Amino acid sequence: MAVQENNVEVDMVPLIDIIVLVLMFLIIVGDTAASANAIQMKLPRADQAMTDKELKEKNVRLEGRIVIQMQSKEGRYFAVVNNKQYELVAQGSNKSLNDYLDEQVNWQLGRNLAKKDSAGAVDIPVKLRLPEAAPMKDVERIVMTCARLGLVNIQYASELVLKRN
Amino acid sequence: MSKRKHPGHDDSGGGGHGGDRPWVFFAVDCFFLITQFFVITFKVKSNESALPQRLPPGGTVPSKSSALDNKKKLSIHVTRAGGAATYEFMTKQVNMQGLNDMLAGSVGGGQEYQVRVSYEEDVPFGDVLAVFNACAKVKISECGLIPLRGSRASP
Repeated sequence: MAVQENNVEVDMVPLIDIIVLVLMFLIIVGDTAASANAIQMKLPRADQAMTDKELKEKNVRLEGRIVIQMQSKEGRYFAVVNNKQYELVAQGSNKSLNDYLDEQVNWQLGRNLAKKDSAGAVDIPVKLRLPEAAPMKDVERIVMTCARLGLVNIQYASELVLKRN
Repeated sequence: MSKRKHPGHDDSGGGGHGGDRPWVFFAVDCFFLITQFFVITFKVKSNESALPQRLPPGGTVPSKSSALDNKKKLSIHVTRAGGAATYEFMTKQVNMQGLNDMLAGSVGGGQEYQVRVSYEEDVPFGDVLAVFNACAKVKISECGLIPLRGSRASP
């Protein structure tokens, strides 16, 4: 009895299309997710901290939030915003955090994306991702820079603590 | 014109696996390897928590409007001794649990208070954030830092 041979062929075109689409999605989303908390650090614990969802429910403004991260390199600390590194104190030709934030504040105020009150406080939220072990001397430079520019709405990133009672 | 052959059915016996399109398998292998790489290294945006605080008006620099606000000011000084944080509050030196208890006992409506935190230059940030956290527990949302003075001050 003759065996009938079945020719089964996998159609490569839709397979490749799907793989390319998945690849593009992962590249785009993965990169965006990384920029906000790209630096690995041990954050301090805070049981009163809230997730972004909870902050929104409490009407805490999150739109236009600037995320400042702190990174140590060779014993010195730098600020990192949107994957770019800034000096904590103006020195040399490197751009300082103060310069960057000043540009951001003026840009947002100029386009009515933020408001400044009579006391000089700007309502742009700032999230600080600071390592638990960072000395206050360096942390102070970041907080002082924000304060001088009127950025008083500060959110300190902390390690997620399981739901409190 | 070349004659098309079925990739998995090579009558001629030559050309091996894939017939006249061996590159397809190579391409699919590459795609799968690249996809695996991205899937493995992909991180979903983590749901990081944050402790919201508002710096007192005027920020940490001498307050321009401090004379205008009627909030009571509390001072807490953070030091580190023997590897543990010590908090000086109302002339008493206490640990974090003690500070929590003292704040809970002395602060009624947190909205009426502002807290100013001072510290030694080498105190780790985690110990100071613990003060903010303790303040948040008693509904004090305005916490500021008193900058270091003298030669230890930032430029």
